Amino acid sequence: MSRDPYGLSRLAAVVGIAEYGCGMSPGETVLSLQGRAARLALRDAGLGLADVDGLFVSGYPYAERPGLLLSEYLGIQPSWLDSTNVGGCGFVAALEHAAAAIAAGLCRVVLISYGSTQYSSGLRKLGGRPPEFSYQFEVPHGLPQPLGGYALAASRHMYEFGTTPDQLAEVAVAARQWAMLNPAAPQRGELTVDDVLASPMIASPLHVLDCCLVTDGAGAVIVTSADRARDLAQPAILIVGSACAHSHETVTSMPDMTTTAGAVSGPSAFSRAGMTPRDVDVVQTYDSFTITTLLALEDLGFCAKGEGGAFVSGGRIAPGGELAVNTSGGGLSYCHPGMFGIFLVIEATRQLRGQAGQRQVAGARRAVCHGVGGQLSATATAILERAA
Amino acid sequence: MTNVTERMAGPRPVVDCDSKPFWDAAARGELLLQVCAACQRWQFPPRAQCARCAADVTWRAASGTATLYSYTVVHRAPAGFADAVPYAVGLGDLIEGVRMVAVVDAPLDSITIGQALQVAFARRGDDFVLPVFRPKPGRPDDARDLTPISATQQEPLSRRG
Repeated sequence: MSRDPYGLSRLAAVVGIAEYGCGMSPGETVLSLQGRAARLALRDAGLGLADVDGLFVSGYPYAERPGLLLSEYLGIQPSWLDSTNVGGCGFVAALEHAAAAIAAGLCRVVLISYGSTQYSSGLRKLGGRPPEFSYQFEVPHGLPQPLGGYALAASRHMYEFGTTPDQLAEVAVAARQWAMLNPAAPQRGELTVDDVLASPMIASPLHVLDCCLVTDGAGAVIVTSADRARDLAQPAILIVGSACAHSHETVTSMPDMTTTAGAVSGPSAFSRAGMTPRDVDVVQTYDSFTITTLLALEDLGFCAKGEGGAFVSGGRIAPGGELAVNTSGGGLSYCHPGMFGIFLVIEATRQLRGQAGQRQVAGARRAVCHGVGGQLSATATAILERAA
Repeated sequence: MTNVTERMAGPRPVVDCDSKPFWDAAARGELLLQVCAACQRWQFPPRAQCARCAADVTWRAASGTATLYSYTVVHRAPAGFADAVPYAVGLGDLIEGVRMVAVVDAPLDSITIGQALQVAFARRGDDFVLPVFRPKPGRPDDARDLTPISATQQEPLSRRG
Protein backbone atom coordinates (compact mmCIF):
# COMPACT_ATOMS: atom_id res chain seq x y z
CA MET A 1 0.00 0.00 0.00
CA SER A 2 1.31 3.44 -0.89
CA ARG A 3 1.96 5.98 1.81
CA ASP A 4 -1.01 8.15 2.82
CA PRO A 5 -0.26 11.52 1.17
CA TYR A 6 -2.18 13.45 3.85
CA GLY A 7 -0.48 16.78 4.20
CA LEU A 8 -2.56 18.82 6.62
CA SER A 9 -1.11 17.88 9.99
CA ARG A 10 -0.55 20.89 12.27
CA LEU A 11 -1.06 23.43 9.46
CA ALA A 12 -4.30 24.88 10.83
CA ALA A 13 -5.79 25.51 14.24
CA VAL A 14 -9.06 26.21 15.99
CA VAL A 15 -8.71 29.71 17.44
CA GLY A 16 -12.24 30.77 18.31
CA ILE A 17 -15.36 29.01 19.60
CA ALA A 18 -18.84 29.97 20.77
CA GLU A 19 -22.30 28.56 21.30
CA TYR A 20 -25.45 30.60 21.44
CA GLY A 21 -29.05 29.87 22.36
CA CYS A 22 -28.62 26.16 23.06
CA GLY A 23 -31.91 25.02 24.55
CA MET A 24 -34.96 27.09 23.77
CA SER A 25 -34.55 30.25 21.73
CA PRO A 26 -38.04 31.44 20.81
CA GLY A 27 -38.07 34.49 18.57
CA GLU A 28 -34.67 33.77 17.04
CA THR A 29 -34.11 32.73 13.44
CA VAL A 30 -31.55 30.37 11.94
CA LEU A 31 -29.62 33.46 10.81
CA SER A 32 -29.89 35.55 13.98
CA LEU A 33 -28.59 32.63 16.05
CA GLN A 34 -25.66 32.14 13.70
CA GLY A 35 -24.86 35.84 13.68
CA ARG A 36 -24.71 35.97 17.46
CA ALA A 37 -22.56 32.83 17.71
CA ALA A 38 -20.20 34.07 14.97
CA ARG A 39 -19.67 37.40 16.72
CA LEU A 40 -18.89 35.65 20.02
CA ALA A 41 -16.47 33.20 18.40
CA LEU A 42 -14.61 35.98 16.57
CA ARG A 43 -14.37 37.97 19.81
CA ASP A 44 -13.03 34.83 21.51
CA ALA A 45 -10.33 34.58 18.82
CA GLY A 46 -9.48 38.26 18.90
CA LEU A 47 -10.61 38.65 15.28
CA GLY A 48 -13.41 40.50 13.52
CA LEU A 49 -15.85 39.79 10.71
CA ALA A 50 -13.58 41.70 8.34
CA ASP A 51 -10.96 38.97 8.83
CA VAL A 52 -13.29 36.18 7.65
CA ASP A 53 -12.55 35.17 4.07
CA GLY A 54 -13.80 31.59 4.27
CA LEU A 55 -17.20 30.26 5.34
CA PHE A 56 -18.48 26.74 5.99
CA VAL A 57 -22.18 26.50 6.74
CA SER A 58 -24.41 23.46 6.78
CA GLY A 59 -27.74 22.51 8.26
CA TYR A 60 -31.24 21.46 7.45
CA PRO A 61 -31.94 23.04 4.09
CA TYR A 62 -33.40 26.36 5.19
CA ALA A 63 -32.04 27.95 2.04
CA GLU A 64 -31.01 26.80 -1.40
CA ARG A 65 -27.76 28.71 -1.03
CA PRO A 66 -27.02 28.92 2.70
CA GLY A 67 -23.48 30.20 2.08
CA LEU A 68 -24.73 33.19 0.14
CA LEU A 69 -27.63 33.86 2.49
CA LEU A 70 -25.50 33.77 5.64
CA SER A 71 -22.74 35.83 3.99
CA GLU A 72 -25.29 38.48 3.03
CA TYR A 73 -26.73 38.43 6.57
CA LEU A 74 -23.29 38.87 8.13
CA GLY A 75 -22.24 41.46 5.54
CA ILE A 76 -19.21 39.52 4.31
CA GLN A 77 -18.12 38.19 0.92
CA PRO A 78 -15.80 35.30 1.72
CA SER A 79 -13.94 34.05 -1.34
CA TRP A 80 -14.13 30.44 -0.11
CA LEU A 81 -17.57 28.95 0.53
CA ASP A 82 -18.40 25.37 1.49
CA SER A 83 -21.88 24.02 2.22
CA THR A 84 -21.09 20.31 2.23
CA ASN A 85 -23.97 18.45 3.84
CA VAL A 86 -23.10 15.01 5.19
CA GLY A 87 -25.40 15.32 8.20
CA GLY A 88 -24.35 16.15 11.72
CA CYS A 89 -20.73 15.12 11.22
CA GLY A 90 -20.29 17.87 8.62
CA PHE A 91 -18.80 20.30 11.10
CA VAL A 92 -16.00 17.88 11.96
CA ALA A 93 -15.44 17.38 8.22
CA ALA A 94 -15.35 21.18 8.02
CA LEU A 95 -12.12 21.22 10.05
CA GLU A 96 -10.47 19.15 7.32
CA HIS A 97 -11.99 21.23 4.52
CA ALA A 98 -10.95 24.47 6.21
CA ALA A 99 -7.42 23.23 6.88
CA ALA A 100 -7.08 22.20 3.23
CA ALA A 101 -8.38 25.54 1.96
CA ILE A 102 -6.05 27.47 4.26
CA ALA A 103 -3.06 25.28 3.36
CA ALA A 104 -3.81 25.81 -0.33
CA GLY A 105 -3.91 29.55 0.11
CA LEU A 106 -7.58 29.89 -0.80
CA CYS A 107 -8.40 31.76 2.39
CA ARG A 108 -6.90 32.72 5.74
CA VAL A 109 -9.70 32.75 8.32
CA VAL A 110 -12.62 30.33 8.12
CA LEU A 111 -15.88 30.70 10.03
CA ILE A 112 -17.62 27.35 10.54
CA SER A 113 -21.23 28.10 11.36
CA TYR A 114 -24.36 26.24 12.38
CA GLY A 115 -27.74 27.35 13.65
CA SER A 116 -31.12 25.73 14.15
CA THR A 117 -34.53 26.64 15.54
CA GLN A 118 -35.87 23.09 15.26
CA TYR A 119 -37.33 23.13 18.76
CA SER A 120 -39.07 26.51 18.62
CA SER A 121 -40.33 26.00 15.09
CA GLY A 122 -41.53 22.43 15.79
CA LEU A 123 -39.66 21.13 12.77
CA ARG A 124 -38.49 17.82 14.18
CA LYS A 125 -40.82 14.99 13.12
CA LEU A 126 -40.43 11.21 13.27
CA GLY A 127 -41.28 10.98 9.58
CA GLY A 128 -38.23 12.98 8.81
CA ARG A 129 -37.72 12.45 5.09
CA PRO A 130 -39.93 12.72 2.01
CA PRO A 131 -40.81 9.28 0.53
CA GLU A 132 -38.78 9.82 -2.61
CA PHE A 133 -35.68 8.28 -4.20
CA SER A 134 -34.24 5.58 -1.89
CA TYR A 135 -36.48 6.76 0.95
CA GLN A 136 -39.57 5.57 -0.94
CA PHE A 137 -38.52 2.05 0.11
CA GLU A 138 -38.42 2.92 3.83
CA VAL A 139 -40.84 5.73 4.68
CA PRO A 140 -44.06 4.03 3.37
CA HIS A 141 -43.37 1.08 5.69
CA GLY A 142 -43.55 3.26 8.80
CA LEU A 143 -39.83 3.19 9.62
CA PRO A 144 -39.18 6.36 11.67
CA GLN A 145 -36.42 8.52 10.16
CA PRO A 146 -33.68 8.68 11.23
CA LEU A 147 -34.50 7.02 14.58
CA GLY A 148 -35.56 3.71 12.98
CA GLY A 149 -32.15 3.14 11.45
CA TYR A 150 -30.45 3.54 14.82
CA ALA A 151 -32.99 1.20 16.43
CA LEU A 152 -32.24 -1.43 13.76
CA ALA A 153 -28.52 -1.07 14.39
CA ALA A 154 -29.00 -1.40 18.15
CA SER A 155 -31.21 -4.45 17.70
CA ARG A 156 -28.63 -6.14 15.47
CA HIS A 157 -25.80 -5.25 17.88
CA MET A 158 -27.74 -6.88 20.70
CA TYR A 159 -28.29 -9.99 18.57
CA GLU A 160 -24.69 -10.34 17.42
CA PHE A 161 -22.84 -9.39 20.58
CA GLY A 162 -25.28 -9.82 23.45
CA THR A 163 -25.34 -6.10 24.15
CA THR A 164 -28.10 -5.25 26.63
CA PRO A 165 -30.55 -2.35 27.06
CA ASP A 166 -28.83 -1.67 30.40
CA GLN A 167 -25.51 -1.18 28.62
CA LEU A 168 -27.06 1.24 26.13
CA ALA A 169 -28.61 3.10 29.08
CA GLU A 170 -25.15 3.48 30.64
CA VAL A 171 -24.26 5.88 27.80
CA ALA A 172 -27.19 8.13 28.72
CA VAL A 173 -26.36 7.94 32.42
CA ALA A 174 -22.73 8.92 31.82
CA ALA A 175 -23.81 11.81 29.59
CA ARG A 176 -26.12 13.08 32.33
CA GLN A 177 -23.35 12.91 34.91
CA TRP A 178 -21.16 15.07 32.67
CA ALA A 179 -24.10 17.43 32.06
CA MET A 180 -24.51 17.84 35.80
CA LEU A 181 -21.06 19.48 35.75
CA ASN A 182 -21.99 21.79 32.85
CA PRO A 183 -23.87 24.91 33.98
CA ALA A 184 -25.10 25.45 30.41
CA ALA A 185 -26.84 22.07 30.24
CA PRO A 186 -30.60 22.07 30.78
CA GLN A 187 -30.78 18.39 31.79
CA ARG A 188 -29.06 18.32 35.15
CA GLY A 189 -31.15 15.99 37.32
CA GLU A 190 -29.86 12.61 38.46
CA LEU A 191 -30.44 9.80 35.99
CA THR A 192 -30.13 6.05 36.57
CA VAL A 193 -30.10 3.03 34.26
CA ASP A 194 -33.53 2.13 35.66
CA ASP A 195 -34.83 5.61 34.74
CA VAL A 196 -33.74 5.09 31.13
CA LEU A 197 -35.27 1.61 30.96
CA ALA A 198 -38.52 2.88 32.53
CA SER A 199 -38.86 5.74 30.07
CA PRO A 200 -41.33 5.24 27.19
CA MET A 201 -40.17 3.01 24.34
CA ILE A 202 -39.93 4.90 21.05
CA ALA A 203 -38.67 2.19 18.71
CA SER A 204 -37.22 -0.88 20.42
CA PRO A 205 -34.67 -1.16 21.87
CA LEU A 206 -34.46 2.64 22.10
CA HIS A 207 -36.38 4.40 24.89
CA VAL A 208 -36.98 8.12 24.91
CA LEU A 209 -33.96 8.54 27.22
CA ASP A 210 -31.79 6.65 24.71
CA CYS A 211 -32.50 9.54 22.31
CA CYS A 212 -30.87 12.94 22.10
CA LEU A 213 -32.61 16.14 23.13
CA VAL A 214 -34.48 18.29 20.65
CA THR A 215 -33.31 21.88 21.14
CA ASP A 216 -32.53 25.11 19.33
CA GLY A 217 -29.00 26.42 19.20
CA ALA A 218 -26.06 27.72 17.24
CA GLY A 219 -22.33 27.21 17.21
CA ALA A 220 -19.38 28.92 15.57
CA VAL A 221 -15.77 27.83 15.19
CA ILE A 222 -12.93 29.94 13.79
CA VAL A 223 -10.04 28.22 12.01
CA THR A 224 -6.85 29.85 10.74
CA SER A 225 -3.29 28.85 9.93
CA ALA A 226 -1.11 27.49 12.71
CA ASP A 227 1.29 30.41 12.11
CA ARG A 228 -1.33 33.07 12.57
CA ALA A 229 -2.88 31.19 15.50
CA ARG A 230 0.24 31.87 17.60
CA ASP A 231 -0.53 35.59 17.72
CA LEU A 232 -4.21 35.34 18.61
CA ALA A 233 -6.08 35.65 21.87
CA GLN A 234 -6.45 31.97 22.81
CA PRO A 235 -4.14 28.97 22.94
CA ALA A 236 -4.01 27.43 19.45
CA ILE A 237 -5.69 24.04 19.13
CA LEU A 238 -4.01 22.31 16.20
CA ILE A 239 -5.72 19.99 13.73
CA VAL A 240 -3.24 17.12 13.64
CA GLY A 241 -5.20 14.42 11.81
CA SER A 242 -8.55 14.10 10.09
CA ALA A 243 -10.53 11.80 7.84
CA CYS A 244 -14.04 11.46 6.42
CA ALA A 245 -15.95 8.41 5.20
CA HIS A 246 -19.44 7.34 4.26
CA SER A 247 -21.14 4.10 3.34
CA HIS A 248 -24.77 4.78 2.40
CA GLU A 249 -27.68 7.19 2.72
CA THR A 250 -30.58 4.91 3.70
CA VAL A 251 -30.22 1.98 6.12
CA THR A 252 -31.38 -0.43 3.42
CA SER A 253 -27.93 0.02 1.88
CA MET A 254 -25.86 0.02 5.08
CA PRO A 255 -23.33 -2.78 4.54
CA ASP A 256 -23.15 -4.00 8.14
CA MET A 257 -25.39 -2.44 10.75
CA THR A 258 -22.89 -2.96 13.54
CA THR A 259 -19.96 -1.28 11.79
CA THR A 260 -20.09 2.34 10.63
CA ALA A 261 -17.88 4.32 8.28
CA GLY A 262 -16.12 5.35 11.49
CA ALA A 263 -14.15 2.12 11.15
CA VAL A 264 -12.57 3.85 8.14
CA SER A 265 -12.39 7.51 9.19
CA GLY A 266 -11.35 6.77 12.78
CA PRO A 267 -8.23 4.66 12.16
CA SER A 268 -7.32 6.89 9.20
CA ALA A 269 -7.48 10.07 11.29
CA PHE A 270 -5.42 8.50 14.07
CA SER A 271 -2.88 7.20 11.58
CA ARG A 272 -2.58 10.61 9.91
CA ALA A 273 -2.01 12.16 13.33
CA GLY A 274 0.64 9.53 14.10
CA MET A 275 -1.41 8.48 17.11
CA THR A 276 -3.59 5.72 18.49
CA PRO A 277 -6.72 5.98 20.65
CA ARG A 278 -4.48 5.62 23.70
CA ASP A 279 -2.90 8.98 22.91
CA VAL A 280 -6.03 11.09 23.43
CA ASP A 281 -7.20 12.45 26.77
CA VAL A 282 -10.74 13.42 25.77
CA VAL A 283 -13.30 11.94 23.38
CA GLN A 284 -16.09 14.04 21.89
CA THR A 285 -18.28 11.73 19.86
CA TYR A 286 -21.72 11.88 18.34
CA ASP A 287 -24.52 10.66 20.61
CA SER A 288 -27.72 11.16 18.67
CA PHE A 289 -28.75 7.90 20.32
CA THR A 290 -27.00 5.76 22.92
CA ILE A 291 -26.13 3.18 20.25
CA THR A 292 -24.34 5.90 18.25
CA THR A 293 -21.75 6.38 20.98
CA LEU A 294 -21.31 2.66 21.52
CA LEU A 295 -20.67 2.01 17.81
CA ALA A 296 -18.34 5.01 17.59
CA LEU A 297 -16.15 3.87 20.50
CA GLU A 298 -15.79 0.46 18.84
CA ASP A 299 -15.14 1.84 15.36
CA LEU A 300 -12.59 4.39 16.64
CA GLY A 301 -10.71 1.52 18.28
CA PHE A 302 -11.24 2.30 21.96
CA CYS A 303 -12.48 -1.27 22.30
CA ALA A 304 -12.97 -4.26 20.02
CA LYS A 305 -16.07 -4.66 17.87
CA GLY A 306 -18.85 -6.06 20.00
CA GLU A 307 -17.27 -5.00 23.30
CA GLY A 308 -18.84 -1.54 23.40
CA GLY A 309 -21.53 -2.59 25.86
CA ALA A 310 -19.05 -3.72 28.47
CA PHE A 311 -16.76 -0.79 27.68
CA VAL A 312 -19.35 1.88 28.55
CA SER A 313 -20.62 0.09 31.67
CA GLY A 314 -19.86 0.75 35.30
CA GLY A 315 -19.29 4.47 34.85
CA ARG A 316 -16.20 3.96 32.68
CA ILE A 317 -17.07 6.91 30.38
CA ALA A 318 -18.62 9.03 33.14
CA PRO A 319 -16.79 11.67 35.23
CA GLY A 320 -14.03 9.92 37.15
CA GLY A 321 -14.09 6.97 34.75
CA GLU A 322 -11.30 5.60 32.61
CA LEU A 323 -12.15 7.57 29.47
CA ALA A 324 -13.70 11.05 29.38
CA VAL A 325 -16.43 10.89 26.72
CA ASN A 326 -18.74 13.78 25.79
CA THR A 327 -17.82 16.01 28.67
CA SER A 328 -20.46 18.65 27.84
CA GLY A 329 -23.25 16.15 28.43
CA GLY A 330 -23.48 15.63 24.69
CA GLY A 331 -26.57 15.57 22.57
CA LEU A 332 -28.20 13.30 25.13
CA SER A 333 -28.09 15.78 28.01
CA TYR A 334 -26.65 19.11 26.87
CA CYS A 335 -28.19 20.19 23.56
CA HIS A 336 -29.04 18.80 20.14
CA PRO A 337 -30.34 21.28 17.58
CA GLY A 338 -30.50 18.59 14.87
CA MET A 339 -26.82 18.50 14.01
CA PHE A 340 -24.41 18.19 16.89
CA GLY A 341 -21.03 18.11 15.14
CA ILE A 342 -19.99 21.71 15.79
CA PHE A 343 -20.53 21.24 19.52
CA LEU A 344 -18.07 18.34 19.52
CA VAL A 345 -15.38 20.69 18.21
CA ILE A 346 -16.33 23.45 20.64
CA GLU A 347 -16.19 21.18 23.70
CA ALA A 348 -12.95 19.52 22.59
CA THR A 349 -11.36 22.95 22.15
CA ARG A 350 -12.63 24.10 25.54
CA GLN A 351 -11.13 21.02 27.19
CA LEU A 352 -7.77 21.42 25.44
CA ARG A 353 -7.62 25.08 26.44
CA GLY A 354 -8.31 24.10 30.04
CA GLN A 355 -11.50 26.19 30.12
CA ALA A 356 -14.05 23.50 30.91
CA GLY A 357 -14.67 24.50 34.53
CA GLN A 358 -15.91 21.77 36.86
CA ARG A 359 -15.83 19.17 34.11
CA GLN A 360 -12.24 19.92 33.04
CA VAL A 361 -10.22 16.79 32.33
CA ALA A 362 -6.95 17.50 34.13
CA GLY A 363 -4.04 18.09 31.77
CA ALA A 364 -6.05 17.32 28.61
CA ARG A 365 -3.73 17.87 25.67
CA ARG A 366 -5.21 15.79 22.86
CA ALA A 367 -8.81 15.12 21.87
CA VAL A 368 -10.66 13.21 19.20
CA CYS A 369 -13.85 14.64 17.68
CA HIS A 370 -15.98 12.07 15.90
CA GLY A 371 -19.19 12.96 14.10
CA VAL A 372 -21.84 10.65 12.66
CA GLY A 373 -24.31 11.90 10.07
CA GLY A 374 -27.55 10.70 8.51
CA GLN A 375 -28.60 7.19 9.48
CA LEU A 376 -25.14 6.06 10.58
CA SER A 377 -24.32 7.05 7.00
CA ALA A 378 -21.29 9.33 7.17
CA THR A 379 -18.53 9.95 9.68
CA ALA A 380 -15.82 12.52 10.18
CA THR A 381 -12.98 12.22 12.67
CA ALA A 382 -10.50 14.89 13.71
CA ILE A 383 -7.64 14.72 16.19
CA LEU A 384 -6.91 18.00 17.97
CA GLU A 385 -3.89 18.94 20.08
CA ARG A 386 -3.00 21.93 22.22
CA ALA A 387 0.02 23.66 20.71
CA ALA A 388 3.12 23.16 22.82
CA MET B 1 -50.71 -12.55 9.55
CA THR B 2 -51.96 -9.79 11.76
CA ASN B 3 -53.47 -7.30 9.30
CA VAL B 4 -51.30 -4.61 10.91
CA THR B 5 -50.94 -2.77 7.60
CA GLU B 6 -54.70 -2.12 7.54
CA ARG B 7 -54.15 0.38 10.33
CA MET B 8 -51.47 2.24 8.32
CA ALA B 9 -52.07 5.14 5.93
CA GLY B 10 -48.79 7.01 5.80
CA PRO B 11 -46.87 8.60 2.95
CA ARG B 12 -46.91 6.79 -0.39
CA PRO B 13 -43.80 6.43 -2.49
CA VAL B 14 -42.99 9.14 -4.99
CA VAL B 15 -42.80 6.68 -7.88
CA ASP B 16 -40.10 7.49 -10.43
CA CYS B 17 -38.54 6.03 -13.57
CA ASP B 18 -36.30 3.73 -11.51
CA SER B 19 -38.99 2.45 -9.14
CA LYS B 20 -42.11 2.21 -11.33
CA PRO B 21 -41.65 -1.45 -12.34
CA PHE B 22 -41.19 -2.38 -8.66
CA TRP B 23 -44.35 -0.65 -7.46
CA ASP B 24 -46.41 -1.71 -10.50
CA ALA B 25 -45.45 -5.31 -9.79
CA ALA B 26 -46.18 -4.87 -6.08
CA ALA B 27 -49.71 -3.76 -6.95
CA ARG B 28 -50.10 -7.10 -8.80
CA GLY B 29 -48.65 -9.01 -5.84
CA GLU B 30 -45.31 -9.73 -7.51
CA LEU B 31 -41.79 -9.08 -6.27
CA LEU B 32 -39.72 -7.78 -9.16
CA LEU B 33 -36.09 -6.83 -8.61
CA GLN B 34 -33.26 -5.69 -10.85
CA VAL B 35 -30.45 -7.95 -12.07
CA CYS B 36 -27.32 -6.63 -13.77
CA ALA B 37 -27.04 -7.80 -17.38
CA ALA B 38 -23.25 -7.94 -17.07
CA CYS B 39 -22.26 -9.04 -13.56
CA GLN B 40 -25.57 -10.83 -12.82
CA ARG B 41 -25.85 -9.32 -9.36
CA TRP B 42 -29.28 -8.42 -8.01
CA GLN B 43 -29.67 -4.90 -6.68
CA PHE B 44 -32.11 -2.97 -4.54
CA PRO B 45 -33.17 -0.17 -4.44
CA PRO B 46 -33.59 0.00 -8.24
CA ARG B 47 -31.40 2.32 -10.30
CA ALA B 48 -30.86 3.27 -13.93
CA GLN B 49 -27.75 1.07 -13.99
CA CYS B 50 -25.81 -1.44 -11.93
CA ALA B 51 -24.30 0.20 -8.84
CA ARG B 52 -21.34 -2.14 -9.02
CA CYS B 53 -20.32 -2.15 -12.69
CA ALA B 54 -22.55 0.54 -14.27
CA ALA B 55 -23.94 -1.90 -16.86
CA ASP B 56 -27.59 -2.16 -17.90
CA VAL B 57 -30.06 -3.85 -15.60
CA THR B 58 -33.10 -6.00 -16.28
CA TRP B 59 -36.11 -6.85 -14.10
CA ARG B 60 -36.67 -10.39 -12.86
CA ALA B 61 -39.09 -12.08 -10.46
CA ALA B 62 -37.44 -12.65 -7.09
CA SER B 63 -38.07 -15.51 -4.68
CA GLY B 64 -39.18 -13.37 -1.76
CA THR B 65 -37.39 -15.79 0.57
CA ALA B 66 -35.45 -13.95 3.24
CA THR B 67 -33.97 -14.05 6.71
CA LEU B 68 -34.62 -11.34 9.26
CA TYR B 69 -31.44 -9.27 9.66
CA SER B 70 -32.80 -6.84 12.24
CA TYR B 71 -36.10 -5.35 13.39
CA THR B 72 -37.55 -2.70 15.63
CA VAL B 73 -40.94 -2.47 17.28
CA VAL B 74 -42.22 1.04 16.73
CA HIS B 75 -44.17 2.52 19.63
CA ARG B 76 -44.12 6.18 18.63
CA ALA B 77 -44.91 6.31 14.95
CA PRO B 78 -44.49 8.80 12.14
CA ALA B 79 -47.63 10.54 10.86
CA GLY B 80 -50.04 8.07 9.28
CA PHE B 81 -48.85 5.06 11.28
CA ALA B 82 -50.04 5.93 14.81
CA ASP B 83 -53.11 3.64 14.65
CA ALA B 84 -50.87 0.64 13.98
CA VAL B 85 -48.55 0.88 17.03
CA PRO B 86 -46.92 -1.18 18.25
CA TYR B 87 -45.79 -2.67 14.95
CA ALA B 88 -42.54 -4.27 13.77
CA VAL B 89 -40.45 -3.04 10.85
CA GLY B 90 -37.54 -5.17 9.77
CA LEU B 91 -34.64 -5.52 7.40
CA GLY B 92 -34.81 -8.79 5.50
CA ASP B 93 -31.91 -10.33 3.60
CA LEU B 94 -33.32 -11.88 0.45
CA ILE B 95 -31.60 -14.99 -0.89
CA GLU B 96 -30.89 -12.97 -4.02
CA GLY B 97 -28.39 -11.01 -1.92
CA VAL B 98 -30.24 -7.75 -1.38
CA ARG B 99 -31.73 -6.24 1.76
CA MET B 100 -35.19 -4.67 2.05
CA VAL B 101 -37.18 -2.78 4.68
CA ALA B 102 -40.75 -4.00 5.31
CA VAL B 103 -43.27 -4.46 8.07
CA VAL B 104 -42.84 -7.82 9.81
CA ASP B 105 -46.41 -9.07 9.80
CA ALA B 106 -46.29 -11.50 12.71
CA PRO B 107 -47.18 -11.56 16.41
CA LEU B 108 -44.60 -9.25 18.01
CA ASP B 109 -43.47 -11.71 20.66
CA SER B 110 -42.77 -14.34 18.01
CA ILE B 111 -40.28 -12.29 16.00
CA THR B 112 -36.60 -13.25 16.19
CA ILE B 113 -33.59 -12.08 14.22
CA GLY B 114 -32.44 -14.86 11.90
CA GLN B 115 -35.93 -16.26 11.35
CA ALA B 116 -37.01 -17.31 7.86
CA LEU B 117 -39.35 -14.90 6.10
CA GLN B 118 -41.40 -14.83 2.95
CA VAL B 119 -42.30 -11.58 1.17
CA ALA B 120 -46.05 -11.18 0.77
CA PHE B 121 -48.11 -8.22 -0.33
CA ALA B 122 -50.54 -6.44 1.94
CA ARG B 123 -52.97 -3.57 1.59
CA ARG B 124 -52.63 -0.55 3.84
CA GLY B 125 -55.75 1.15 5.20
CA ASP B 126 -55.48 3.68 2.39
CA ASP B 127 -55.56 0.85 -0.19
CA PHE B 128 -51.88 1.19 -1.04
CA VAL B 129 -50.26 -2.22 -1.60
CA LEU B 130 -46.75 -2.82 -0.28
CA PRO B 131 -44.47 -5.79 0.41
CA VAL B 132 -44.43 -7.21 3.95
CA PHE B 133 -42.41 -9.96 5.60
CA ARG B 134 -44.33 -12.93 6.94
CA PRO B 135 -42.83 -15.91 8.80
CA LYS B 136 -41.89 -18.64 6.36
CA PRO B 137 -43.46 -21.95 7.28
CA GLY B 138 -41.11 -24.68 8.37
CA ARG B 139 -38.36 -24.84 10.90
CA PRO B 140 -36.89 -21.36 11.34
CA ASP B 141 -33.35 -22.73 11.54
CA ASP B 142 -33.64 -24.70 8.30
CA ALA B 143 -31.29 -22.68 6.15
CA ARG B 144 -31.08 -25.07 3.20
CA ASP B 145 -33.16 -22.88 0.91
CA LEU B 146 -31.63 -19.69 2.29
CA THR B 147 -28.25 -20.08 0.64
CA PRO B 148 -27.61 -16.86 -1.27
CA ILE B 149 -27.95 -17.15 -5.03
CA SER B 150 -25.13 -14.68 -5.43
CA ALA B 151 -22.68 -13.32 -2.92
CA THR B 152 -24.17 -10.38 -1.12
CA GLN B 153 -23.40 -7.04 -2.65
CA GLN B 154 -23.21 -5.63 0.82
CA GLU B 155 -19.62 -6.33 1.72
CA PRO B 156 -18.00 -5.16 4.92
CA LEU B 157 -16.37 -1.78 4.57
CA SER B 158 -12.96 -3.20 5.30
CA ARG B 159 -13.09 -5.28 2.15
CA ARG B 160 -13.78 -2.33 -0.10
CA GLY B 161 -11.35 -0.38 -2.25
